[in-house]
Amino acid sequence: MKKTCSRYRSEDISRFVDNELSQARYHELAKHLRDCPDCRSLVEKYKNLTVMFNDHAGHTGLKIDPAALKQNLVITTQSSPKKILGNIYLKLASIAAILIISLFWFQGGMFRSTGPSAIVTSVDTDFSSVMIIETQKKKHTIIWFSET
Amino acid sequence: MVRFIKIILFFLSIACFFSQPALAKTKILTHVKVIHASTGPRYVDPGLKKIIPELKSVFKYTSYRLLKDQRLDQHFHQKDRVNLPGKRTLIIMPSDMEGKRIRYQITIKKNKRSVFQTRVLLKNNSSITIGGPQFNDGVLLFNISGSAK
Amino acid sequence: MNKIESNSDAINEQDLVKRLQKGQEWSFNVLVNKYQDRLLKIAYGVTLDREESLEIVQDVFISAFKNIKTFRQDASLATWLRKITINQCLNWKRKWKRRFKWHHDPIESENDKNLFKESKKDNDPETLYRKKQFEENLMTAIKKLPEKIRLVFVLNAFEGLSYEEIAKTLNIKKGTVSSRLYSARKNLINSLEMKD
Repeated sequence: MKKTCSRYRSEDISRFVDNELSQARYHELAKHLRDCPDCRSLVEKYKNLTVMFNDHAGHTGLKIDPAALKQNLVITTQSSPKKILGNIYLKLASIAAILIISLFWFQGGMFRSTGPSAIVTSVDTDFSSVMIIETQKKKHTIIWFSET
Repeated sequence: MVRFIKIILFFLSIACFFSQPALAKTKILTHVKVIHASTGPRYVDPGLKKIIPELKSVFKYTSYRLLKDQRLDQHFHQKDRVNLPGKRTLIIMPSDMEGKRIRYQITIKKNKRSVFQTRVLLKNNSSITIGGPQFNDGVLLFNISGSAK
Repeated sequence: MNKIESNSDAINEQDLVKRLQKGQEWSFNVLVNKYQDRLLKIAYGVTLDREESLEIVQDVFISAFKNIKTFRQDASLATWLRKITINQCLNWKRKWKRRFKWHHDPIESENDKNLFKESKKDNDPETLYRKKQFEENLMTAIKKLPEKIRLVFVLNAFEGLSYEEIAKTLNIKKGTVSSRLYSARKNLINSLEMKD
């Protein structure tokens, strides 16, 4: 990057562009710019970066449809009331839950253990990059290697 | 309350003990799906509908074609081969169970030379996806599922 | 740039917040329509990924609506939404997913090229070409900026925030904002001048 003149550093110019210099220094630099093409050029370059980046990001064409997004939203207008169970009911509910879980587990049914779909215990390969990934939702294990 | 919990846990553990399959008689049904994933025109093979959401959450491929769907009836320490595109072979062998997981040894060979080998503990009735060698402007993915009976 | 909100804007915002807190569905539409462009721009500036930024901002709106009752109105709604958006952008899980997808996505750079729309003002082909080339080089250089530096640059460029405001938003010192912004500009200009 082309340097500024010896009077001001590039960082001063950067702060000038953002109006973050003290008032006295700001006016001093503003006056200096009239006679210094190097500093003036740098100011323009800094400003141009902002303008171009703004222009680019403002034309992504992205749009969110509020109606479609709302469908993902569960709107609760009323908070569910808290239920307080007496000791006896809690015990009965616990017994029922445990018995049902045991029944399914014994039959190898619905009960699923948590954890990834596969635990990788070893990998042996010539390839330089291997990745082991677990998906967020169903914790599906993926082993990815690159042949290059 | 503590005594009550202990009794319940005792009966649960009895249930667990009886739920373990006898190893000697265990049959493993291994299902290998060979998938071609690419960034071509959007397509999802109907046979892949279950695993596609998981793959799509990781990969940006737009087309998923099922090239091969092979079911293998295996016993422990039985090696089976699945021929793959591009002069590759997948060799799969279940060796034993650890809890509810099936231990598999999976090898991929290219031109008869082993290029990738892994040992995994696959949750019963679950699957793992391995990939991906380059193939036809895309990659190959191997979805392997196992079920112990 | 950083505008001082007029009284009517402030009143409208208060009214919107009240209606959101009551759970009125149409107020959600107003929220999305009013702030989506701004938040999408910030998210895109940080992630440089269109799909990612769309997903992030959708999550921001859902989160904002669900948590509107925790909004204390000590800052403006825009400031609150901006903070949520930045936090979401910096969330590490997204980062990991983004890195992986970026590595395996040959068409992403093509998508970026399609974003460069031609200006109606400069119809001269040579000017258009030079401008397009500059933008492409700029975006390539921006992608190389470390995320924490790019974040400061985005907040300055898109939101026109002062160093003080950026420092408060990101919980960093004002001096750090100044040096990161300078660093962003220096790196970008060096990269652009190397390509010339």
